[in-house]
Amino acid sequence: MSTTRGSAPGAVTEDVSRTTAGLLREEAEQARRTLLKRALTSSPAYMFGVLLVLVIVFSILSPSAFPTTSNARNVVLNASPLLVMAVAMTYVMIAGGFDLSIGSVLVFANVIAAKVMGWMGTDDALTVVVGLLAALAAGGVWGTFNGLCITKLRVPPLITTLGTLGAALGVADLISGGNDVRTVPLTLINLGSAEPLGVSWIVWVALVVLVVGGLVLHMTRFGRHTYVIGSNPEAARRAGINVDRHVLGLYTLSGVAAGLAGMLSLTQFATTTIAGHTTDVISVIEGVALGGTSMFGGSGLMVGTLIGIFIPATLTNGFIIQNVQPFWQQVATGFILIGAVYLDQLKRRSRERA
Amino acid sequence: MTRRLRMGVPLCALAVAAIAAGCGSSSSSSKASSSSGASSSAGSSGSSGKTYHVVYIPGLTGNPFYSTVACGAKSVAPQMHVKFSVQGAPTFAVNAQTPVVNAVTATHPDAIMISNDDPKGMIPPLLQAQRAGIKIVNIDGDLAEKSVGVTNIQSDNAYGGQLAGQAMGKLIGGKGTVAIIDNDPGFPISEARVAGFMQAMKQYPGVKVLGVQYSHNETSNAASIVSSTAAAHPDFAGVYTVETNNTEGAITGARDAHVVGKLKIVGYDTSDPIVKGIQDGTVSADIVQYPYGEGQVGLQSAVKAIQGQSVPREQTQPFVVATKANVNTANVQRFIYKTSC
Amino acid sequence: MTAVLEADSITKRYGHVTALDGASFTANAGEVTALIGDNGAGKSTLVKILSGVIAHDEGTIRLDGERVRLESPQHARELGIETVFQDLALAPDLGPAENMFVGREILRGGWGGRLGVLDKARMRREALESFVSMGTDVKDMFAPVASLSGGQRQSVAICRSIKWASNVLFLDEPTAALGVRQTRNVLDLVRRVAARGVAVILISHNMPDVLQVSDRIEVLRLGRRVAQFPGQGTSIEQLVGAMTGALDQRAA
Ligand SMILES: Nc1ncnc2c1ncn2[C@@H]1O[C@H](COP(=O)(O)OP(=O)(O)O)[C@@H](O)[C@H]1O
Ligand SMILES: [Mg+2]
Repeated sequence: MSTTRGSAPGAVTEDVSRTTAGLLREEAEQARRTLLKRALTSSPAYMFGVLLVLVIVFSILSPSAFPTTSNARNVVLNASPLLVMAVAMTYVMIAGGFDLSIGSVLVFANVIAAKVMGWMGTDDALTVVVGLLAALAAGGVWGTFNGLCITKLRVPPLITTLGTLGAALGVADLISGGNDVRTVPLTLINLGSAEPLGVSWIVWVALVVLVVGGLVLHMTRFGRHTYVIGSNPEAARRAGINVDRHVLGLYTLSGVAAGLAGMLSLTQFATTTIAGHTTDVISVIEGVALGGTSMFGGSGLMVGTLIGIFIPATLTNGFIIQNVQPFWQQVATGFILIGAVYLDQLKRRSRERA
Repeated sequence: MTRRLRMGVPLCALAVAAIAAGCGSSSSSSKASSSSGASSSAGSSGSSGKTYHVVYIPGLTGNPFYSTVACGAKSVAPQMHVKFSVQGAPTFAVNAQTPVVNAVTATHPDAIMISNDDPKGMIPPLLQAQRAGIKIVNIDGDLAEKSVGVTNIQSDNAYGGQLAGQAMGKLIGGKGTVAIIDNDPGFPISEARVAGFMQAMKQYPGVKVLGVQYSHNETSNAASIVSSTAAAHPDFAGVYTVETNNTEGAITGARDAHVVGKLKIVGYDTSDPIVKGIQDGTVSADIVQYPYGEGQVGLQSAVKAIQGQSVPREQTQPFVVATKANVNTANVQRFIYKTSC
Repeated sequence: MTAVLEADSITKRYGHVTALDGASFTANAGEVTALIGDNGAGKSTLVKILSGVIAHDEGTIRLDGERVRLESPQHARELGIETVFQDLALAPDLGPAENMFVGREILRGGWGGRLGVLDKARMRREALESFVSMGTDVKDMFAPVASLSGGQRQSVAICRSIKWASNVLFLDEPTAALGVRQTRNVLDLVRRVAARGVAVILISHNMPDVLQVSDRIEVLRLGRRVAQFPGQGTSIEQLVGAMTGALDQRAA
């Protein structure tokens, strides 16, 4: 258990220790240089370039409509629920998994939260808090179910979450009778239109999730174990990491994130959106993949996910403003995605040749 | 509101003239549009022709009904000096339609014609657009908040459903089992069509109506619902198909189950295969709306509103019940959808 | 010499395959013990059992004279047993320092530590110190392990185990993928670790290497120990004979 017990062997020569000292002095400097170089040549850096080009081109093409604060605010607002789910998906994919069920779980949590708040019949802060907890729990239940199927029953993630993709939506339809639920308290609707510091609550929540998600991924042991599991689960197991428990945790997290996204969506639209999330999972996986997270697990950066989510969102917005047929947006994103994953593959191959 | 009435209208018209002049039909020339658009707010005088910019946002893209609305609007656009365009999302959902409305609002058209995906959920983005001085014309789906939008043009879906029910009752002689196929649960328009149908069926107590079955807008699902229902119920007399894909699927399903002619199909909305089905008798009756007219009236209402004239808040469009007997008459033909124009 | 690790009559079956059939094994503190045998003799299986990766069916294991049940790799490591597996068990996407501390990450002091915040700089420093002091040429603490040469990868895995081994160190064919010079380095390392008082168990197919570095040699054949030799004064012919069964000598 102790992390400091092991010590370097005693047989260290003068010569070696001098080298060590020299190398250690350089270490901090080297760390800084290497990090900078790696950052500039990483997938997120390329994709940030792509995003920047898109923003510049659209700004030049329609300077009065595209680069305005209200337009930017709308783009960010509309992408916020996706971003929340993408943060969790980044973890799941770095650990070498997939969660196809998130769109349906969002709808399920959406319906549960609306129903619970409707049953309460009250309209105050407490109603909203209970609704939020209900949404998170509803998402968490499906996430845990996914995790248990994957770790205990050994059903592959793709199949498990494909199953719950159908099941969660089906149960949501059963509960709601297939009708969108509109029992949304005014408190929540007002919360949705409130804009502290000029930005909607919905965006603030997504931002907090992104930042916390990024810090935990890159700074903590939990994050580190996520990478190890995705890179080599057997190595993780032999290193004493409880892989099953960790993976179960990640799918639960993904479910909870979908639940939160469901609550955000309810806040924004004041109604459940039963029919509106069938393609969410595609947008989310697309965003995470565009951001450079490997489809094979083991590598990825949270900042990449942020950039990746905004590439399709910006394309859609810019194309509509340019009055380009919306189908072109799907075509463009598709090709950018293939390009991004090709880049990832190239890097992998050149690394393995080395 | 009052301020816009006093001085917003003439300014707006000028700005629009300038934008439309710069915009042309290709997107690449919009650089010019925005620079002139910016200058127009300072009041560039002397533009003679008033050209308005109107965007239609359908419930979803690639749907024959909405395409026909667009065709109708397009047909009257030149004579009304309107630069008309269409932007939409591929799914019928409030969270898909909202970003489209947001982006269209950013381009500041004079009016938005919209087939709303949700009566409540679409209020915030459209309110934003209305506050930016854009006229909102609701087509085939009003908002819960009547202060948003100058008008709503639609056919009465519950009434259409009743027409379907009456046709069905007569066709099957008031007895047998009847199935209903809808796309997906949760859409008020389809629900009204079903409710109207059920209302009419109350006059036929001898008919057993099965619960609504959902095809998820898949023709093949609708086909298998029909063939399996035929197998399960020997007295399967009629099927009410609430959208085009379901009617098309029912035609296939009836063929698969060898019940063509015996099984009465009553559809709602048309497409080319459905028109053929009516002509050869596979489809016994079809409720046809008049989306082409909705598009025309919609654009005319938009221009009136832009010019400050009053428009009735509610406008309805007629139906026709198409059967083998009347489908080729000119009166019915003008109701049939036009997906390309 | 005291026996640190003693395995007695270990049996392991995979369905119809008997991987180990009553194998015994002894390793002493401060000694290099070679474990040799033909392919399929059961060497890797024995190592996995003695490092807690898999459970055995029958037999007993003693550590410092006490009977133990190795519940998991984690448990074995807590008892000071480290292993360099034949497949190295590295995470290819992570760097050498990250790999060195997998499952044993150093956390920051105080508040951050309680939240699980890593002390990355310290781990990099400590890792670099080990790599240099062990005479390896692993210098870039950021490069993913997959981009290192085979020898460097081996070095990372070995250094990791050495760093943590306090009682027993298993090395399953650590030189199989290495060139002459790197093999030399590894063998030197093996001797140095043994000099610290650790019981080192080396699995290798290279008989000259085995004879050069080992204090004792144990031979497995068909899942059993069939011979024990001293490192000094044994010939390659004797080893090969025991491995192939041409020269059977019952284990005591
Ligand atoms: N997981 C396993 N499943 C089935 N058989 C196995 C497994 N692992 C090892 N074996 C079998 O056990 C025997 C011993 O294997 P191993 O310990 O790998 O031998 P060595 O390392 O000496 O070459 C072989 O016959 C091998 O096929
Ligand atoms: Mg082996």
